[in-house]
Amino acid sequence: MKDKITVITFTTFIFFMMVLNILTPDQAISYSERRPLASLPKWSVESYLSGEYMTSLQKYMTDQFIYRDNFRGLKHYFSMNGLGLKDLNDIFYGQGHIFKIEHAKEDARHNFIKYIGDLQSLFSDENKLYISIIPDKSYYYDGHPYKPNYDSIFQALNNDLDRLEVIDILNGLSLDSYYKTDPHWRQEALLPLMDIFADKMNINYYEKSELDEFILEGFKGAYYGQGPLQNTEEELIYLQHEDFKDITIKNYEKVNQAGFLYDLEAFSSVDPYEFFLGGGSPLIEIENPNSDSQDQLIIFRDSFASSISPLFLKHYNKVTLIDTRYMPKDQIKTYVDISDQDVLFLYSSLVVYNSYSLK
Amino acid sequence: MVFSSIEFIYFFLPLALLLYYMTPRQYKNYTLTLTSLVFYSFGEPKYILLLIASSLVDFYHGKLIVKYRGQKKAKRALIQSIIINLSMLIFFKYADFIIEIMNIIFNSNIPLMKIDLPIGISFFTFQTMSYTIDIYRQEGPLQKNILNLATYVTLFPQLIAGPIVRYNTLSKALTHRKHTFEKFSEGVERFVIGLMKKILIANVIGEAVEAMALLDHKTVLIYWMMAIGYSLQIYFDFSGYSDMAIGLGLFFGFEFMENFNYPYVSKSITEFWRRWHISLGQWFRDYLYIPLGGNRVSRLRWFLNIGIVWFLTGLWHGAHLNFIIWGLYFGIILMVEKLVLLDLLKKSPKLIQHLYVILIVTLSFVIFKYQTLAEVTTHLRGLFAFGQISVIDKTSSYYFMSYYRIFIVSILAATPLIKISYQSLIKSRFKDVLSILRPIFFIGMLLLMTGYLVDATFNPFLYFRF
Repeated sequence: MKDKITVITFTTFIFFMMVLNILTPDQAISYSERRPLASLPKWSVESYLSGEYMTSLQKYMTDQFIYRDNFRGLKHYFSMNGLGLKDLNDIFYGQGHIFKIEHAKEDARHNFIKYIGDLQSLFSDENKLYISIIPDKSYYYDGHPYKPNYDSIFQALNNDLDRLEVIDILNGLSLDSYYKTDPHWRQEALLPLMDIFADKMNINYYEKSELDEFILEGFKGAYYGQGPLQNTEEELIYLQHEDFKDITIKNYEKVNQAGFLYDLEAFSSVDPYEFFLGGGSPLIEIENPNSDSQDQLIIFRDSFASSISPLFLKHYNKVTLIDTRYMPKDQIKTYVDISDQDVLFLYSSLVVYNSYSLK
Repeated sequence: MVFSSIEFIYFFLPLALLLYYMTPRQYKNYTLTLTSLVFYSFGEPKYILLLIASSLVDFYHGKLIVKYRGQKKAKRALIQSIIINLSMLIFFKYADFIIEIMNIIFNSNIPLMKIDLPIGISFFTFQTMSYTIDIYRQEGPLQKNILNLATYVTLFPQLIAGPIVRYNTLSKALTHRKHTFEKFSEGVERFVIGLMKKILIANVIGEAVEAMALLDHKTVLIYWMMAIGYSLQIYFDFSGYSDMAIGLGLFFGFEFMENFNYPYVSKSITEFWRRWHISLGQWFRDYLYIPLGGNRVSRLRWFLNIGIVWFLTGLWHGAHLNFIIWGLYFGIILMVEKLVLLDLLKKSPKLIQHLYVILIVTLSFVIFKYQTLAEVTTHLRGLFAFGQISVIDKTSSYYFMSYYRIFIVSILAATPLIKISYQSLIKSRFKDVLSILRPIFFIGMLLLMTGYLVDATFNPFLYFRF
């Protein structure tokens, strides 16, 4: 009897799952994983013989499996709590946050320092040069053994790049300065940081009382899909100032479109952090006719600068954002007048340890 | 298509079972052969013809052997079929290896052929050879119906990674096999346990080994975790696959031989090889070692026989020098054991015997894993580089703390402890509770493993490349 029960349970289960999968309509996009899902491939003799059809079919079946996100959550739960793994595919959890292990690659760090040295040589003595490294949020979490140590980066910045003034922002941030489901920092948490920048760069910055906070619900960060155990939606708060009504934005990647400081359409995309300045672009110029000075600032940056750059507009008349992951450094002088500008190299540790992506 | 995949468990298997059990008994082999060809086509559609050709060649030669039994022509037919099968294997698997060696010896520049390796060719050519050999030796009946032979050659549960089911052990079941709930239920148990070995242990440890391999600075602890991890990964990967194959065979009424019997509890390497990849060991013993004279020859000839068998065992695993070295490494150890070591081991404490086996096997899998001599020496040196590199650092202690539980669980699972405990439980007063919990446990495990499969980033079968 027990054998009959086992056989009937097993076969019913696999049949039931098959039928349920066939009857359930396909999904086009996985918002939690920020990627399009595979669709049913078209059969042809060529694709069949080359094995391509079967490969695509296998991907389709896995992608479109029912309750995919729940099953992924089950895997994460068992791996972390059952098998006791400290991370799963580098993802780990703590204090309501999802983190990703930052692998400190020494060769990438050396390459970064060398790269910044090359960029530094583009500028003359009339430029004031600053550099700051944005720590990964796991730096502020003590509950996990894989905590980054940035001593070697700061040591190298101080020793090897003598023309740059290093702005240490480690003490200006905390875990609460970051989104829970995303590696980026929260714009509304950056005001204490502006105090540090203002002090070092001798600039003015917006006081909290001058800024209005606006809230967008339903923010799902880059780790949202990778960490199914902690995938609760959160708020994205953005800051507005009267000055922002008059600013002009020129995005060199979208020359025919009006640039936005805050792009509401992008908030609904698979990468909602692109809400700030519409996401990555090789070159963006922001001009504020109401600035306190006529000074200009160039920020060599990654995505983190998208949210902090508006806060520099109080002082600077023009802020130019250059992302050298998309623009080779030898083309900078073709597009940007670099004379007599303040320059801030503002990179996250993610880019330091993946510095080979810098062109 | 691998057994541990969404498409196999939730699409191919239910459809294959439905078709098979709806087919009248006399046509079941038709369905099974067709299903097996569809299964193979998921990985290698272009090589289906190879499988069909292999079946035809052996069917024809089997007939010739029987027709000319007692005559020289029978032996000629056998040799001819062996040559055809081996030529197929050599052409697809070893052509580039031979060209590389020739280029080195003759300083020539013959271009490599770069042929795609048909999946499972090492397994199915050995099986088809066993058909003609068993017929020649009159150890199995001639198949008068080509379809029954095709069923044997293409049988999907064991087609691509064994166990290497010899013809004489399956010939009866090809035409007369029973389908019972008891068999099917045992099949469910073996299939789910195999999946658990593969997905919950081999893949998890495999991912850890791959992650540790990427570290810039490896400590002695990391080298040991990688070596032990790989030994565990390959065992749970391959024995898990064999369990799934045996389980699937039972679904369709076949009883395949066991391929593993807790090899890591062995007390000598001689015993280890009686417990590891048993079907391959027996194939080489019956079809090569014994025909060469086995141990009933002079000592020198005996050792030569061992050398030949282990050279070929190594080569069977792959067309790389490291596999040959790996095979010869075991050949030499087995010779030393037969000469002196077995007697010494028997007098030693059991712990020493076990540690000896674990050390020899762990080191062997370092040779097995890395295909260049430089990698092999780096990793072997790393294991004993005390004083030259750090023994432990922050990163290696992190990996240790993250994975020590799964290492302990897998080491325990590599012993018969769980099986013995389960068997004593089903004889106890908890028998009835267990029979209720059993199917619930299987479904629970299937659901859990489905989570791993839909989120799979790491799911290779190590023995697919052989």
